[in-house]
Amino acid sequence: MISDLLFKRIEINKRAAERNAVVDGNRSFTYGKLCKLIDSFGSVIRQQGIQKGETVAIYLPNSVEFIISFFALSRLGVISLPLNVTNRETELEYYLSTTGSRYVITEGEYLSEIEGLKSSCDLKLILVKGESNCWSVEKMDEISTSGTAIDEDDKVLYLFSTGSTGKPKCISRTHANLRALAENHTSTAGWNEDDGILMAVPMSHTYGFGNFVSAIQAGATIYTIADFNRKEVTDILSSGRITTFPAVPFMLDMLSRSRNLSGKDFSSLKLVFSAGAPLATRIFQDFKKNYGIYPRQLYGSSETGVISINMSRDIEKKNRSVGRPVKNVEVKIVDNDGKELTFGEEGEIIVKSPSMTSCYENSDQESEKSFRNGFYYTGDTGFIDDKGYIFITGRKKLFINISGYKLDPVELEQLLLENKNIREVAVKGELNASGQEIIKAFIVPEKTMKYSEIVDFCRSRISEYKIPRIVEFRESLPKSPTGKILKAKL
Amino acid sequence: MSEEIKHRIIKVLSNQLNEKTESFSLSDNEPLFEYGLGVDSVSTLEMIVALENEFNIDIDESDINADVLYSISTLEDYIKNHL
Repeated sequence: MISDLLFKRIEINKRAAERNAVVDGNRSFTYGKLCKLIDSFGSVIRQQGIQKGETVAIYLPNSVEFIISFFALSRLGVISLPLNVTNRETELEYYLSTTGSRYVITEGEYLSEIEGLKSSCDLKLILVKGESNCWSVEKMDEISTSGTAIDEDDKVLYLFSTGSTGKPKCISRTHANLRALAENHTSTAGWNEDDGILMAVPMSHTYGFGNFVSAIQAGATIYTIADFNRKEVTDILSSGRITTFPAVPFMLDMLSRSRNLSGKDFSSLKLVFSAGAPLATRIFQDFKKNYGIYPRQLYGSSETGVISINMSRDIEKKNRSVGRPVKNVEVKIVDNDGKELTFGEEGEIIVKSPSMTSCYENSDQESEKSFRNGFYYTGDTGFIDDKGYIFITGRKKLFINISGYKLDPVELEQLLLENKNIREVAVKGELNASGQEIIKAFIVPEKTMKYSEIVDFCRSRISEYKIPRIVEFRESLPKSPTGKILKAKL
Repeated sequence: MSEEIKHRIIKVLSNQLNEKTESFSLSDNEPLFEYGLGVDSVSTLEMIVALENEFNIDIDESDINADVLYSISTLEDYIKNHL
């Protein structure tokens, strides 16, 4: 099972128990201590009467509590549903009801976001921080719980994937999937127990989650950051302890354009990953100029986990590539008929991986479209060069990419139409001055509306990154003879 | 000096919204929020970095709250104190 990455490690190698596993602000936890905390929290979960095969949501930021929660649940055969702390009521309700989650692990700071759902979703909360009488890492009981019998094919994780269907699609991963992901990622990246991984990207998403599990596989030290803050990130990056920094292009751009970097030493950095959105050459060059290291693109998806990492020795020339497939992962390019294409020919990228799911949990129709003959059809288009490097050139799936976060425009359109003052709406992506994709909504109101009314309506219901940055109020929207809104004409 | 600072703030803000500076009309005390500026952490950080580079100042994003971002006037006050 996935927790063997921790427990077997310290069983086989006693010295490993003394090494730092997690540094969360000014709190440090060795691998030995982390295992004790996981067992202690596991007993709390068990006392709640939560059974093997149930789903429990983790609504926590990057933190040692997130890591403890995931592994404690996994040892009891319980499926984790990590939720981003930016998620709001409408999203939370959907994720919790789709997976049948009755329990949420959270902390005092996020209570107000979730308390409103307690009665409508019949939820029970398990607090791990911020309340005087809750279990916490500072006052845990030293209880050793024996693990539940786990099959490697048991589900251990639910994630959601965005694109084309209006509603996010639920994906499960098994213990075997996650073990394969960690093994493939770690051996391709060459991590070991001397590495320090800075987790600033959310561990509740596939990219952050994959890096966190792989860091544990390597026996490395994870440094967690709850919110992206340039000063905090540059202070840790220059502490001499960080060797790998998984990021998204937006973070790299903001860090590159920051001014007060003089006197800081980033020479401990060996790898900087960029994923979630294409890495512009400008950001690639600027980051190197300021931090002395080129970022490398990593490609993955919620459905598959990590697909490829660009570990090229000639990164200056290959910077636009997302690299070659990681260990044990097969990638092909196919045409519209599913026929495999050769080097340099452009088509859809399809992936076969031991870390991938085989279907969507809540949609047979979408599963049939996306999972065929053992391959996942990513919806991304691209080509592979004669050295095996993958280049992404476009996407077939419909979504807007906001600094690595994906939004299906239909999801926002459906939400906005729930506002009785909105008659028609169309949402599309637009590039801003720094080349980042932003959300623009075209709205036909029933009566005069202000932009702030749209923001207020969205803010309590969806993550802030999904709020349209620009709203254009119109008297009508262009339509086809059949009444379909013609977004291309907007 | 003050008019120059204001003009440079408007230049930064209009860029954020893909608007031409000349056609971007916004009075000093109008809430920037109404224009989609600072509605989320991504747009707030972009604006902070753009202001830093325009005025050659360092801004700690943890110092920036809704009061500072409220209008051109409040931004101007903040920038004057950091020049």
